[in-house]
Amino acid sequence: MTERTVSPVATVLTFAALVVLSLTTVGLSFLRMGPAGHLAVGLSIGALKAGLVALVFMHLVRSPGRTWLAAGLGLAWLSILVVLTLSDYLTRHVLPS
Amino acid sequence: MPAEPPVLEPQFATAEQQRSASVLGMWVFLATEVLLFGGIITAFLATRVFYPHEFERAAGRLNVLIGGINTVVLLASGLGMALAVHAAQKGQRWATLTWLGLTALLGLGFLGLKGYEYFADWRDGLVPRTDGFDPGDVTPGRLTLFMLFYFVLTGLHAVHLSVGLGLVSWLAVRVMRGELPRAGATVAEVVGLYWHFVDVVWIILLPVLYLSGHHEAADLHF
Repeated sequence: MTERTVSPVATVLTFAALVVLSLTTVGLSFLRMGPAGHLAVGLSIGALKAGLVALVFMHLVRSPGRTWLAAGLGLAWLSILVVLTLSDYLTRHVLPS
Repeated sequence: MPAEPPVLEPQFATAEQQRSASVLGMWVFLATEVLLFGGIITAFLATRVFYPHEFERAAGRLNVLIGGINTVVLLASGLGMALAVHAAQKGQRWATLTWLGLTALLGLGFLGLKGYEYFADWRDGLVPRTDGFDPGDVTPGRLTLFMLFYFVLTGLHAVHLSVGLGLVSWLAVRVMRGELPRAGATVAEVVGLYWHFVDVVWIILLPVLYLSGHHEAADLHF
């Protein structure tokens, strides 16, 4: 059987990284930025944290290809939803009706 | 601990295949959950395109202190769950139960703080009512739209966390009955995946709702 767990040490280190990233992203919300800037920075750090949780806490890093496929398809459909929707709403002022 | 043999369902050739199918099934379910939350967040982002000023103003009013503390509480519960799954796979009954207990306590702590935050939101007028806000120079109706998204998204997340608490309790009972290391370990793995997903949802809700506006140090209060 292939090894499918992540060591407790790696798990604790990941938790420490997650806490540091959380404090950083909350701290950045006190800086003056445009509204889009706050959202972009926050979502970038959020995506990084979500990736860490999926890879280490959810053992994706040690998972077979079929698990990556299920996780990847979830993200792929989410991308279609977000990108196609926002490509409409964000460009309405570019080509007035 | 009684050494319980794995119950092999007839459609599986081996215990490992059965375990692997359970884990894959949870991942596929979680992909549908991504689209549930993703759909509402996409609607939020699309609405925000039209009212960026109002949404930023409303986001800046949310209680970032409680939101931040709750983020760390939930991440700590995720650590507890990851360590519980690790202990379950090693067949360590008491370690599994201890970590599961810690996970559940932190999950309850999150819900408690969230409940207090809802109370504080109500007290401070952060509710989807046009007379709840001091609108300043922005349209109050658009602020209430933000608050609607806030309550729907955090409420749906709280429902998921409550389901997670139920699953953790059910898992703890199975572990107590001595179902480790076989069936119980797989159940722990699958429940763990769900718990971590609920963590991930909060990790995304934090920047989408709380951090998408500007906060002042004076706003740090309970």
